[in-house]
Amino acid sequence: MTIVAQQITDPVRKIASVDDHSGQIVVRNLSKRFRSVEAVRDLSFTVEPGQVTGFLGANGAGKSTTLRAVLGLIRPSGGEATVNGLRYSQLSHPARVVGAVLDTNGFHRSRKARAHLRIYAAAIGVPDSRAGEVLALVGLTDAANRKIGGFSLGMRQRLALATALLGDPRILILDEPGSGLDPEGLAWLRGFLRSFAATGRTVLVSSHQLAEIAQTVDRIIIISQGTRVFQGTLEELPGDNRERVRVLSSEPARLASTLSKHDIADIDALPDGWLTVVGVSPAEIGRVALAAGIAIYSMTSEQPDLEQQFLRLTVSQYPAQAGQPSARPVTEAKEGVR
Amino acid sequence: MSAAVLDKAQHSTWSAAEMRGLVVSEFRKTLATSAWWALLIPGVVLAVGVLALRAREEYVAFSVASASAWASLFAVLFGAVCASAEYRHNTIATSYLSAANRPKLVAAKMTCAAVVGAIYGVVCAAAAVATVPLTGTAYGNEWPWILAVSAGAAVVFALWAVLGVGLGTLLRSQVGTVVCALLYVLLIEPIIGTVFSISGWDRVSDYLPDRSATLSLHGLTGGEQFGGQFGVATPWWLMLLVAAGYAAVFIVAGIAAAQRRDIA
Repeated sequence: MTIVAQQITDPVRKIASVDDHSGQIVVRNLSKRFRSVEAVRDLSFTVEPGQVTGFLGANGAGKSTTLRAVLGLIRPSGGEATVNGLRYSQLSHPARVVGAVLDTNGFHRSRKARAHLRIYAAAIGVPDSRAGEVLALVGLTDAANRKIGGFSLGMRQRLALATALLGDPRILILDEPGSGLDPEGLAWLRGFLRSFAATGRTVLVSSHQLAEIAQTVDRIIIISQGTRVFQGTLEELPGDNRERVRVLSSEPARLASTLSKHDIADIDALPDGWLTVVGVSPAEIGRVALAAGIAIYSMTSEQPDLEQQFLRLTVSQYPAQAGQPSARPVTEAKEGVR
Repeated sequence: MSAAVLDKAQHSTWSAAEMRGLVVSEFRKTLATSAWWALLIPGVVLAVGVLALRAREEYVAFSVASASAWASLFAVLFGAVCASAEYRHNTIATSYLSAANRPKLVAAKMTCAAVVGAIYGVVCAAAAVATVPLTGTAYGNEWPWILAVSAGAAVVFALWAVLGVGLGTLLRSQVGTVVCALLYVLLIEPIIGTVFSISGWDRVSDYLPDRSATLSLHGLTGGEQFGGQFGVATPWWLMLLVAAGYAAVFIVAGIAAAQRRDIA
């Protein structure tokens, strides 16, 4: 890896921070407190180039705060976030390194699409012809001379992507890009992100729905309440791959108490008389019911899907779960650079 | 701690090409929207109106100075709208992401606003000057002072546009900045001025922002010949420096606020 570009010497630490051209995003012990709200707590993860990384969490989990800290829009209360080994503010041409799609309302509505792009082309220091190129790339050439105020949500989303691509960045960060896109637009975006990553570049895309990005991502990072609860591939998502059995019986209450005597504790009683039993096979439940003399009317078994696993991580599990198994321990990340 | 030092080290590298790009970007922002002419028109109307009211009773150069001083309010508003529009339209994140750092962006905005402000000044002064014959007044031998006042107007308007950028960056709200600027010029400063003059501190009120700008223009009308009549005793260049000081204070405060602020 060539180490060139600008070199900044930190007189306090007597070390040099260099643009390492790694294409990595490294978040290290990041914390952010907004007045009384702790949005992000001691969050660490690494995003590698050549992959699409999904950044998942419920609304309010701290996704946007984290992404904005990476982009230098938010000053962390603790820890740091770096791109290519540097903080965003240390990059000499940040928009040529990182492109970001943050929201669909970041436009002056009375400007035309091309005028909007020419404004930022000048600021980034790329030729004006880039405006036409990125418009073509996102399929907005026909709308180039229309006012952004008349754009649909999907068109604004694509214009935001075009803006992010102006500087031909190595790294792309997208915050909830799926919202507002129709199925066709979503499919197009998936294809785009896959091919972008396939050229060895970095994609970090956030979502609150695993299903929306499950087909696109190579790896996922899940955060809940500002803390990482998982980092790895979809296959490594910590199952609780236990099956769930729904049981309709003659005596739901007695069946539940009998099952719990057999150390089967994960039972939910539904008001309509059904029980949901987790982690036990239907055969086992049948044996217990038979021994207790309870009639089983119906039993259905289901394997948990990814979404359920994701929801379980984000809703029911708290910071105690921060040490979930992950394919790449975060701490290995680029310590050598500094 | 080390973060601050690093940021400082980085901020010290300002390349001309980079700044040129940012300034071009700001001019494109300005020209792609209507604020620049929408605020120039009332400025011109105000200049013409003030001149029409006063030309018959005063020396021409002095009326042009008064007309320009009133119209300069619209340079403040232009600067303020320039800066606060980024917050109103949520474009501030994109703008910060495109610039290497925030002071550079504010500096580019300031440069653009200063140039547009200077043009405002020349246009408003020219409009006032052009109105003179319509009031049945002759220019007489006042051309040197008329031209001096017009040049001074360019500088004052530029400074006020810069002050507006600082104010807009500080307050962020477009309506808030406009209301603040109007309240100050039309109400607060006259009250402070009155309080000072009642207290016998007339000379202190000369150093208030709006008054300093007005006096610098009045001073350019050939101070000595009006000196006794209008009470312009402080030299125009000193008043201009005072105005520049206010512009500097606001722009530095704006940059400091921009540096600290989270864009969440």
